[in-house]
Amino acid sequence: MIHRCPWPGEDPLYIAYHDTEWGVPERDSEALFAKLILDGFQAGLSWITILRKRENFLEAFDGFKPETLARYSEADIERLLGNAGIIRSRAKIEAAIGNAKAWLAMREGGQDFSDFLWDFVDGEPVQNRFASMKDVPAETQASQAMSKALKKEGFKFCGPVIVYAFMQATGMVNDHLVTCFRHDEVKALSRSS
Amino acid sequence: MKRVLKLAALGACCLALCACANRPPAHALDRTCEMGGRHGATGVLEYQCVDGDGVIRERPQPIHRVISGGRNG
Repeated sequence: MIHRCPWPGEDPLYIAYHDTEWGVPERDSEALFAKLILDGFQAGLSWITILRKRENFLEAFDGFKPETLARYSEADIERLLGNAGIIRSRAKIEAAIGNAKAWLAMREGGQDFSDFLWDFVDGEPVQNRFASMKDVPAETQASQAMSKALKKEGFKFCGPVIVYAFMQATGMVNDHLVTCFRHDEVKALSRSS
Repeated sequence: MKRVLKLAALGACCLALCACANRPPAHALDRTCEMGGRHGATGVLEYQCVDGDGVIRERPQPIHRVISGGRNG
């Protein structure tokens, strides 16, 4: 019998996300950007809501390509506000566009987004060994520092709690429970393992 | 007929009481709310409020509608 983290429940989409994506170290700058934006869209909602709409998001937002997103006009915002397949929040849509501009500004300044983020964990996933979901924090000093740095670069919807969830999902921390079959599999994906 | 009306009124009262059971008392409506618990895939709480009576109550639904476009999205 497979033992996995309890949070996906019985939902097949959630289980697939847990089993194949969550916690896998992501080092691609554009993929990290897209994930951060989706995490921002989740604010106040459950992740499964975003997961079910993810394909719609990718289609509506041109794959979250920063170069494209940064050029979005008011007409694009109106188009997105009329799209029932996504979360129609003007604040979040405008934040996504602003974040794309911040991402581009960092790149133009010679700062790679992936290196910038991974530096907060010294370039390697933090291997936690939590036995229970009660032990898993909502935020850490590293997520607080990353959040502060992102805000300084002009990013929005990136508070320390959102950022910690982002760090978990993108494998900067391994928060699969030690009893979960993915804990060791994800650990093995670390560069230093 | 009167008996039916009485029963209907009683039923309505019971439903109203049930609906109110999880609401803070009137004196506790002065509250502060903030994001609570974990975010992301492992998130359980989305939002929690400390009511005027000092009790922390979870209110995921209203804030979905208020801050996140959940009503439309």
